[in-house]
Amino acid sequence: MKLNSQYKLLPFRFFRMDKKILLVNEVGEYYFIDEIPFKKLIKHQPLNNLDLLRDLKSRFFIADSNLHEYIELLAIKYRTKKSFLYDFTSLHIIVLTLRCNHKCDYCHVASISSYDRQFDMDIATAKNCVNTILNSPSNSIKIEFQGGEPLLNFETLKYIVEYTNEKNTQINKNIEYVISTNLTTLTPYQFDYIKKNNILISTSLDGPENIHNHHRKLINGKNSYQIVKEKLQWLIDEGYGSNISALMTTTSDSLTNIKKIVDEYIKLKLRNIFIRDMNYFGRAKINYENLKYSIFSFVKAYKEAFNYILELNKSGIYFREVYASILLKKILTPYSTGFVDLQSPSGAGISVAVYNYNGDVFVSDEARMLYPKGSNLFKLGNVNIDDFQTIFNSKKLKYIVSRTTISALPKCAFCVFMPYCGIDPIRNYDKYGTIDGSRISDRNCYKNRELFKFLFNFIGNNDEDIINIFWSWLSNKAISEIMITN
Amino acid sequence: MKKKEICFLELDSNIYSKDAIKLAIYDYSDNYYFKLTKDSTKYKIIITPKRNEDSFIDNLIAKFEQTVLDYDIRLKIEKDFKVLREIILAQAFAPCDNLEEILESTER
Repeated sequence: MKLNSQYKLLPFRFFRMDKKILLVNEVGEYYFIDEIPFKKLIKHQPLNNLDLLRDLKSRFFIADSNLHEYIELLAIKYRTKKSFLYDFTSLHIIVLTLRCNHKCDYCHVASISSYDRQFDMDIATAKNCVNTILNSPSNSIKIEFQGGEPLLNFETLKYIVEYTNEKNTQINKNIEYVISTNLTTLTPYQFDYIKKNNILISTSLDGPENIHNHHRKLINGKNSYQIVKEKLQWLIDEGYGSNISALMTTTSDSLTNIKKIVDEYIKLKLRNIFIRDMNYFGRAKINYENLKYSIFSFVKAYKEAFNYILELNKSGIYFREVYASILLKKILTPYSTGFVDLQSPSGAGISVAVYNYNGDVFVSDEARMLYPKGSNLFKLGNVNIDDFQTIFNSKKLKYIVSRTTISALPKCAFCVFMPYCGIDPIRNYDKYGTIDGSRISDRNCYKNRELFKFLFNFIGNNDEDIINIFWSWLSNKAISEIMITN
Repeated sequence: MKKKEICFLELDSNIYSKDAIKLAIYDYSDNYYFKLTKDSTKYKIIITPKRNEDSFIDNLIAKFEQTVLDYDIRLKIEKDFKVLREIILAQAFAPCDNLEEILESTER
């Protein structure tokens, strides 16, 4: 490139941070630039700075005479960022039963307390689910067992694992199993099976005893926290700790106790936490008045927790916040993530599908909750009636995909964080009556913008210790495990 | 009940674009109502908080003007690379062999 001479701008977005201007291009490469060179850049004026020119060129913000080479490379990077489109459909959630032994006031899937097994998935439906799932073009298939409490229908879980493994001997896909369980009914027999089949465990822990038990109530009146704690200890003692992750649901109680929650996770030897905003579906929607808190208070508590977690990591304790890790993977690496809420077009149906106990197929768990209220938009079919093509090549799914490409939406179109962000059509539909919704009063939009800004402040400050912590989270290893020492 | 305040703003229509003003209004429309009119030389904007409990944030006018200016820049540079953006996306999913020719034709 000839210095100070002509250059061509490549597509990018910008946003004014505190001291600098953040540039992000179409494939998620970023650069912090000062005001004066920014003004020159947008006017195509000479930049008079060799390092700046090289940086902007190497990060694909400007191009010289070989424009086609830049375009080809950007196209490859774009394809990589959107690789989830080729992994159609990788996450399959099977609702083994609607029954649950808890009655949590914020349950977004509205489980039922009945002992009536009519709400369990039967073997014939389970078989049809597997046949449908294994027709997915994706080479990597994750089957997640959900409920209700999926351990209450363990025989169907076993059937699915064994039938899937048997069928997979002919097609050789990478199959991963996850069970989303509250752990409280886990028996040694069930754990042996889970361990033997390397089934990952995702459980729920809201924090210390008083916070956890305040919302997570066992139907039999026993102490949920004590049982979860004992079961976790048992699994960790059995050497299964690295296969367990825990989720917390943020309530107004937890917002003011966020550090205590982190401490509780560390006390129980968990290595990560996912600080999640409340999902106001199902019972959480019914109990909205009792459960509501503002997204501003959530973001404030999140930042407090994040800073605390950073301090813990600096002191040598490896502990990861999962949502930040997802955002950082999008910012710091060329790859996409499987996190459906941050995909554009939406991952609903194309990255995840949910199979209800009766064989109905939905684009997400929340879509399953809307169906009984008369919304048929997100039901793709039924495995007992429809074949794979009918379910996944439907006009309905194509319509959802075509309406959820965020680069075409107001505000998103010019948002600097658009290349990392996504959309939740079901939440939009529930709140606004349209699947593209509105970004103006949307709590997800506010949350994501604030958290992206928060993380970019750390990245812009370029503190070596913090950047190393971020990379340790991305590699899921402690800094001591990834650092090369002399 | 606190009385709602009203803010007035005039922007030179030779300097600011209507599209940029409308995009900025969209950004602020969660908390404020806007009325946009135009005479021969100026856009006239009346801003009212949507809720009684809301008040104007510090430096609202300055921040709004900065937002309009930023959208002006975005619209201007978007014109520069709109075609390139479309070509990158097309090349990502349906690569063509004559990319150089296509790019040359866009330069003309």
